[in-house]
This record gives sequence, structure tokens and C-alpha cells, in this order.
Amino acid sequence: MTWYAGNEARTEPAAGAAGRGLRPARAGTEAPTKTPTEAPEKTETDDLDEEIRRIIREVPDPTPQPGGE
Amino acid sequence: MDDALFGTEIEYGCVGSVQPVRAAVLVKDAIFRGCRHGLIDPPPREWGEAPGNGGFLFNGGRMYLDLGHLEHATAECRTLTDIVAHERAGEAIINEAVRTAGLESQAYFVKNNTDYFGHTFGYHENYCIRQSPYDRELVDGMLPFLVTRQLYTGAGCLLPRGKDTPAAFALSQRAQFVTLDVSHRVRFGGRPIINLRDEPLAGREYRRLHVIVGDVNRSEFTTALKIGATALVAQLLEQGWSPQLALADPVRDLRRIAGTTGGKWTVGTEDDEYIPAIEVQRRYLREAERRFGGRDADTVWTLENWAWALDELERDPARLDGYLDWVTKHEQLKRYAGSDQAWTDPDLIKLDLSYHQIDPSVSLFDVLAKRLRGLYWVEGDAAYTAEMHAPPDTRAHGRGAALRALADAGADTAIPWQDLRTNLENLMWDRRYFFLAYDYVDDWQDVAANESWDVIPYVLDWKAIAVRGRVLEMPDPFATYDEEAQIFGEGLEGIFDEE
Repeated sequence: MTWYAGNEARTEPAAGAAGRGLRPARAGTEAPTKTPTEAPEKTETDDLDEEIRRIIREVPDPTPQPGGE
Repeated sequence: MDDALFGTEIEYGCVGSVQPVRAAVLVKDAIFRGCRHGLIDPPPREWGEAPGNGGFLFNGGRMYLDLGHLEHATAECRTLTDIVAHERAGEAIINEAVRTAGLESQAYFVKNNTDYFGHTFGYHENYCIRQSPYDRELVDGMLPFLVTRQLYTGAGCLLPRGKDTPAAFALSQRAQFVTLDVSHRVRFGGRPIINLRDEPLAGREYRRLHVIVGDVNRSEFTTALKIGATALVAQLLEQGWSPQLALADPVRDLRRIAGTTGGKWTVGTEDDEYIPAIEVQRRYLREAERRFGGRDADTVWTLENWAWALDELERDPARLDGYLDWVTKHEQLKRYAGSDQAWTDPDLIKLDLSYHQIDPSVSLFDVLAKRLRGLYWVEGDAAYTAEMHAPPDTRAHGRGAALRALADAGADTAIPWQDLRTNLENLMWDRRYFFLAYDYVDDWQDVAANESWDVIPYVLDWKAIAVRGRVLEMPDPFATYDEEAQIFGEGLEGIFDEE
């Protein structure tokens, strides 16, 4: 089960006003075409994990901010 | 949305190697340098704004400094598409200015409401109404809605509780900072659920509902639903409808709901009953469906998705992953924490913060938005257009046109605004200009009454633009003032050559 499996079963909301439909389903959901001789493809979960590890490396730490309003 | 007009104010946080206040100043200057996105506003303004503190954008909005934060006030909007597009346009304008100012990899602006160190900064929603915001029935009717609205509008956040102490998770960032139900103030003396500031920035028949309890959202689906539902509830209450519900302790319930992710959300009534928070929302929803169902495209979308979100929250909040901010973030934090059931990993805070980064290179939100539907709600073209163009159906349209004419006439060269503050301090020796040095310019009439056009060559405001005695007044936020703006613009030719 992939991390986004819960999304598969959910009821979708109405698309709403004309020309303002929700974005297409996530990229990369077409049927796989790999052959048996290929190395295992990276999954979308792997890609996401890599992206998150990179972001945590690169994003600055939280720092105190001035109180606002 | 029929008979509705709204706008939002977003205070951005900033992290990185540059001090946050310094970064905000540099980015604000880059936004207006060479009239790139709008025109700086020269006079000192109310709420402690020094000369040159901010300016109006060609898209009808305003960008300025507020208590050390870069703040974006959107143009007045009448559709959900426009308000979402204009919020995103503000992000794009800031990102571009960060690059222009040479602050890439040094300053990262953050669209959230807390710094994890006990400070909060604001996100204010403004709804144009005709009824006084002091009206007791309006306030009483709004309270239960705003206390429970966080179920679908909360941005979610970790609440760090010290080293080796498990962090907690809250649905709403702002809830932890709210201490009063109603107040005229926004900060000192307590932060309220409902703020009674009545500053309509329009003609006398219009008033302003100023909602300061909400979180700023990254999910555009959530922003649209938040604005749409709140606008409908304001209209319900203005029509005299009452939810017939009084909460015993709204602040307690606001915080209690924020601290619960498991779905057992309730509020306590003055009759000592506890009723499900989702049922409170449905009470408003059902009346809005009865009165406004089928009225216009935005209303139809809001009603359908409001009902859908409440149904899904009741079944399993995780089903709203990819639509609601707090759910989407909560799912990612749980996934990252894995077997660390105690949530003590300090990287969890960085992950939380990264969700709110507006720089796509370090934004968890942007990474997820490529995979999950709903997080981005308007097409890229609409947001791109909103960077430079005002909504077509409000007075922001006339304001944008007048600003462009003013820029074309050379307004930015008419005053050395970078040195304006120093110049104004020097003016204290001249009795005529005392009000500029020690007070603020309330509106263009102040400058006219003091015959100070030589010092303040133009004044920009939400309801008027004035240039050396030539005035474009825009008291009706629902009007576009296209014709008036064109005539005003034509009259500006050569106006700064009259030295």
C-alpha cells in the first residue's frame, strides 16, 4: 500500500464553477511498462522520501519572529 | 459570489541568515524599485507606518511593513478564483523580489502564523458588510461558526514542548494565541476571536467584518472554502438569521477543538449541553443551502464542498489528505515520524515549517501539490495574471489603472522617498509641517488642508488617489471606476514637470 492509498477510495468533491476544476490526479499514475530485465523502478514514495530528506537538509531552522498583527 | 466582496491580509515570517526585519525591508524596496510592481506611498500613515513604509500594487493590492513583517493585503475581490489567485500572486511577487534583492539562499519567506517560539503573526480576513460589526446579533451569530470553522480551515502545527518531550499537534496555529471572545484590539490586552475594528475604507453605507482568528492556508482549496463559507455566513446573519446557539466558553472550545485530531470535536452550550462541532457547522450550512442554493457559481461550489468536507471529517479526516492543510500536514508528519511514536525528532519542526515555505525549492507544500489534487486550486495562468492585473469587477480595477498612469507620469521620480523620513524630520522646524513629522496623513484632505503637495506629491489610499490636488475618489468598493480612472490618468500628463 502506498502512502497515498487512502486517496484512492475517497469521494471527490464537485469540480465547482466552470473553468475552475480541481487539478488532474497526481502525475505518474499511468500503467507501468517496465520489462523483467530492468532494474526496479523508483516508486513515487521513494521520490517523495528523497525530496523530503533534501528539504530538511536545505530548509533553514525556525528562528524567532517579531510578534505581529 | 453575489453581493460579496472580500480581501485578506497576510503577514509573512522570514527565516534564513538575514535578520527577518532587515530581509523584509530589502524585499519591500525591491518590489517597488523602478515601479516594478507598483508605487510606494510617501506619507506617514496610521498604525505607525513611516513614510515610504509600503505602497500599492498595480494589481490593486498593497505590500508594506507591519511590526517587522512583510505584509500583503490583497485587492478587493468578488470571486473565489480572484482571492485565491491574488494570494498566490503575492507569493510570486515576494519570491521575485527576493531574487532581485540578491537574497536567494539567505532569506526564505514563510506563509504561516507562528514561529514555534511563542510568537504569532496575523492573517486577517475582511468581508464587506452593511451591518455594524458592533451589532450583538452579528457577533453572537459568528462566534459558534468561527470556533468550529477550524475543522476545515486550520493550517495545523506542531507544538514543541521541550527537548525529549513529545510534541503535540494542533489543528489551528492561531487558536493557541486567542484569549478573548470579542475585543476592539488585535494584540495588546488579549487577542480575540472576533475583532470589532470598524474600518470600512469605503463610503458610509459599507462596514467591515474583520476576522482575525483564522490561519493563513497553503491549500488553495481550503482558502476558497474558508472565504466562501465565511462570506455566506456573514450574509446569513445580515439577513437576520440566528443559529440559536450560545457557547458557554468560546475560547475554551476553540482551544479544545484545536488540540483534538481524532474527530471527537464538541462545543459546550450555555444550556450545559455538549454538541458535535460538525453539527454546529451543519446548522449554518443547511440555512445557507436553503437561502442561497443555486444562486451563483461560487455559492454552489462552496455549499457542495462545505458539505463534502464535513461529511469526510465525520467519516475519517485522513480522507481529506491533499485538500485540507492540517490533515495533509498531519499525514506527512505521522509518516515521517514512523516508529518515533513520541514525535521527539527535531526534524519534524523543520518539516512543519517547510510546508509553509513559499520558495518552491524548499517547500513541502509544493512537493505535495505535484502529487495531490486540491492543494493548488486555480490554474497557473490565473495566478500569473493576478501578479500584474487587478480583479475586473471591483474598485481595485480603477485603482490599478490610476496607479499605472501615475507611474507613467513619473511619480517615482517626484520624491526621493528613500530619504523622505529624514526630510520630514527636518521639516519639524517649519510649523506648517508639524503634522507630517509627528502625526500621520489620514487621507489626501490632510495634505490639501496643509498645502503640502510640495512635500507629499501624491497620496495613495484604498478609497482615493490624489496627486497635487487632482483626486480620484473611490468610495464604492463594488464599482470599477474605469471611466473615472481613465479621465484621472489623462490629467496626469506632465504633472510632475510643473516644478
